[in-house]
Amino acid sequence: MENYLIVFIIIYLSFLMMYAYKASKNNVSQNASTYLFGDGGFGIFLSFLGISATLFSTFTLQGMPSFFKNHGVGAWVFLGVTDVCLASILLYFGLRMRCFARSMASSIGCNKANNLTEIFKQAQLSYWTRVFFVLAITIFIIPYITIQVKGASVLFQSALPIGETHLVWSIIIITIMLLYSFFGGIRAIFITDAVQGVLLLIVAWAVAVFAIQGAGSITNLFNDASQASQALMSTPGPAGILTWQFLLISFISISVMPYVQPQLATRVFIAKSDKTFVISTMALGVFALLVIIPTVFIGIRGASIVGENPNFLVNLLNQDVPAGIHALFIIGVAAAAMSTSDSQLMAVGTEWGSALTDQDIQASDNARTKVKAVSLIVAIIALLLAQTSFKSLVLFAINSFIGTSMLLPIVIAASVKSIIRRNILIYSSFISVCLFLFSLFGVIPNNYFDMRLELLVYFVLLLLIIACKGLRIPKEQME
Amino acid sequence: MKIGIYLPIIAVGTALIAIFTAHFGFLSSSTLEMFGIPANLVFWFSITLFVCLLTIAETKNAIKNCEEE
Repeated sequence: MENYLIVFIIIYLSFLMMYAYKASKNNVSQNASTYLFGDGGFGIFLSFLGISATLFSTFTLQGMPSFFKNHGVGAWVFLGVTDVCLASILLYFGLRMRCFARSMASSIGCNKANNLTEIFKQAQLSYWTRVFFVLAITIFIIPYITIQVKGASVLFQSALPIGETHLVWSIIIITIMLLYSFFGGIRAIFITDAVQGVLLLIVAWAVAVFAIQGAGSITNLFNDASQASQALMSTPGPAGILTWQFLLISFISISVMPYVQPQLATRVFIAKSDKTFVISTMALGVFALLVIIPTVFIGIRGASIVGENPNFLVNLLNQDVPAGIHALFIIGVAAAAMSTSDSQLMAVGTEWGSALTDQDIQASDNARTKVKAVSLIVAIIALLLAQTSFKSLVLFAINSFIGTSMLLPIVIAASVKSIIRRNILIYSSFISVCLFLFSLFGVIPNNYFDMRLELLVYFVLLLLIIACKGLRIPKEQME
Repeated sequence: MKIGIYLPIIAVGTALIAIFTAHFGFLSSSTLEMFGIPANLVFWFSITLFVCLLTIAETKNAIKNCEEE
């Protein structure tokens, strides 16, 4: 397996390095708008794979199988239902968001905003609102980048050890990611993400097919798992985690990601046209379905596999999967980690670059330098945090989603004209994030009247959004 | 380009059906199996596929309404 892995690593890293080098040649001629938003937009293929690869991270290849293995078939509701519904909801609200950005730009006669903070500036949200939004995004995205880097580097270290810890692999992954991002800007990220997205899908299915073969058939796969634990075949699963509260909180927090997480929001804005956006969003829904199905088979097979390694995936890969596919799986995990983290680093850098100045970031001379500086700082913090230990990869990622979802009222406030209503939304978001952080750190309890704090907060935010924004749907033509 | 509000409403409704069937144990305690797969998983997968197909159908409508850009 090591020989295969070395060959794949050389091919994969060579592609990324070659692309970084190629991008560096065109680097000088790019202005800020082209560098940060790929001036002119992206076509259907790159838009679809760009958003898909950014959305599906190492969590898809490692976290989801682990979720099925530990919590059983109910995990489908947690991510399968949620991600396909995310695409459906995005089709409607994404178009409205694009329409809003266009109408805002034409009403004040400036460039169309391609990132959230620029929208806030055009809507004249205060400087402190912008800074709070970006600060909160940074606080919640850094842990996510951290678990990506850690997940990939630990897997590399277990297959091909360099030194005693996964530090060297973490450095290699982050360095390469920064190199192609810095040299090629968002276009390099989109192209590498497209390759990484395809790789992710191929690897997930390849491992799933061998997992089914290992069990003998799909029927045997589920029979073996039910013999290991009958609770895996129903909800709330052996650990009792898949309750309606957990599932509803996960659904809400994941569904609002494209409107609050800057790496996804930017991809909504910069699709070449509405038609491109519509087709790529539909393709995202299909991609979500196709990429999550194999994780069911991998996870359920993992439940009945017994091995020496505490990580069931390593045991499954060793027992069921040929060496070449095992090596490809490790590359797939690295690809998934890098395709999500590179977009997040660039997006956090762009939002900070945008938040700290009143000038339009697309017209700013030093925007590129600012974005690179912030991305570098965030990458170093993530690198250091990746060397510490976390109890649960999955639950930490979920907390990041929940935290960012509570920023939705600020995004909606940008479309509200009344100052009072606008302030209500902004302050409610601020209070929600603070309450959530307090509960995470154990300062306040997480349960009230048998309800989780997050659910109560969502309920109050929903009422406030309805009260401040209203439910009326304008009849304007979208384009 | 016009797109129906019913699409997000159906998506949210479907998710709520999935969540509450999971909670109330609809099919959960059953030993019924379909194609060797637990019946509740088949049910959740079917409604997910329904949302996915509905999205594809709505995309076709949206593209038809889209003017040349």
